[in-house]
Amino acid sequence: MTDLIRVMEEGTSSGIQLEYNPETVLRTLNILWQGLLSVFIVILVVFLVVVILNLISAKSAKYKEAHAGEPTYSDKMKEKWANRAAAREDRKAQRLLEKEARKIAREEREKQKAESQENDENKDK
Amino acid sequence: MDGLGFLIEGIAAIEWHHVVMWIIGFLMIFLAIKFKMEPTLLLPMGFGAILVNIPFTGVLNGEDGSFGILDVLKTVGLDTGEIFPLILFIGIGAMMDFGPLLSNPKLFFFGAAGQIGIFFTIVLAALCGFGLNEAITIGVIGTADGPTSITVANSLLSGTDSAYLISAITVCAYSYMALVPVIQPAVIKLTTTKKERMIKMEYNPKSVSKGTRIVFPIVVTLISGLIAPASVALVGCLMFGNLIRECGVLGSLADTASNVLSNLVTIFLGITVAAGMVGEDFLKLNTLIVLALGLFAFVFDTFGGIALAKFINLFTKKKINPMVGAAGISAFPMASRIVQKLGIKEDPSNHLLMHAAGANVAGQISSVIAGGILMAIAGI
Repeated sequence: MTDLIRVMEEGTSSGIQLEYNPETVLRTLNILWQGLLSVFIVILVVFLVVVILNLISAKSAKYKEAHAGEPTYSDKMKEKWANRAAAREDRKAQRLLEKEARKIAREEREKQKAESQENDENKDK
Repeated sequence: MDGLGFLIEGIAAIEWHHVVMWIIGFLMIFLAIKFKMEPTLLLPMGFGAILVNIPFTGVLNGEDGSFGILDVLKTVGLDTGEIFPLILFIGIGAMMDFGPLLSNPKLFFFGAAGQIGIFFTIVLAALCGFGLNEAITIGVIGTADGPTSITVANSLLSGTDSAYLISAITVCAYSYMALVPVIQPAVIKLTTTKKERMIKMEYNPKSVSKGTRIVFPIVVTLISGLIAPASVALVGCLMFGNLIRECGVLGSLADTASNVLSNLVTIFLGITVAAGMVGEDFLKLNTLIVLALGLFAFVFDTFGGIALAKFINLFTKKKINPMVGAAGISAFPMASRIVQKLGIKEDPSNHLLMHAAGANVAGQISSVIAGGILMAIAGI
């Protein structure tokens, strides 16, 4: 076993020699507290976010339970948009009707005008 | 007969380190098949260890400039942006159910406590004489997470004199993950009393809304990314996989990520990692020290979670079973299964699985965050 370890230590070309370095140890001690603290801070933030998300979903579930059967906000919005769309359609239809009426009136006027012109010409004759 | 001399060239070139690596390769294959110890990784790695230790092997780049498949895969999959482990994370994310954790967010802290071993191991590695980056990568074995260990080790050691440690660290991380059923019960029994192990914990499953499940991976990515930007690749891939699973509209993608994709990458990852197991570089005293330090990291991770549970029990009326704390490591789902088994062994009516599963997924998230934080500290 000792021979194997000796061969393993000596018989390889590349690799690093282990050398105790107090400066490196000090830096790793810094990493120890910095790293641990950072992990706990990130986890704390994630924890708080999850707690808030759970609170929101719990409140939302409670609200839904309390207002069961009533139209939800989304239903209200859908209804509102449906009403608006219907009103838009009505206005569009109204505009079309008005346009049609104007067209008819114009044609009527032109017809009358043409008739009166014809009458005038007949009178002249 | 001189013309047939090439037939014995390979046999004549066999050296002691080739034989030792073959034995290690056989041992890994044996453990994978006989005891089902992480077979998805130990088997490809064991076979790879044999492949790369055949004299004049053609699977590694030759001295004449010829390309070898394992070296090419290593360059593409590991050295260039650690693609394999990161893609594997997408698959792992797609497999994970954060439900038990989200319904009991206190368990997050056990995940954080389960990373204590990493930081103590870093100090111990430095005391053993390893340089800073080597010490950090050895400590990362304590994440109990193969892809994180590979990613951090590659980022810090690739292209340096210590690159040979990458394989040792990977082998160590996966071997100890496979040995979790042996290591954890021993540590738990040593550090807890029978009375503590019998503590019953009620499980009140609260339904977690779909919105929370969808927002969670996005928020975790944002938080960890803003605090430790180096962790974005690790956390982002894990959470992306989970988002695919939870969004509810990408069922076939989630299925592919958690099955086909992760299996495919695992095949390549195992055999590619073995490309670094060339006996000449692998068989060093340092490798043995890395193995010992890795064990220390695992033991202290387990102890960290137990210690936190005991600490919390000093101030609360509703006691926490310290074994749940021990599940706060990344080895999913082995750690939680072990806690469940030990709990039932002490008291057949004591079911700790859901609490342990929550702590276990917290360990998964925390280990990835810890890996990213260490990369940030090391200046990557």
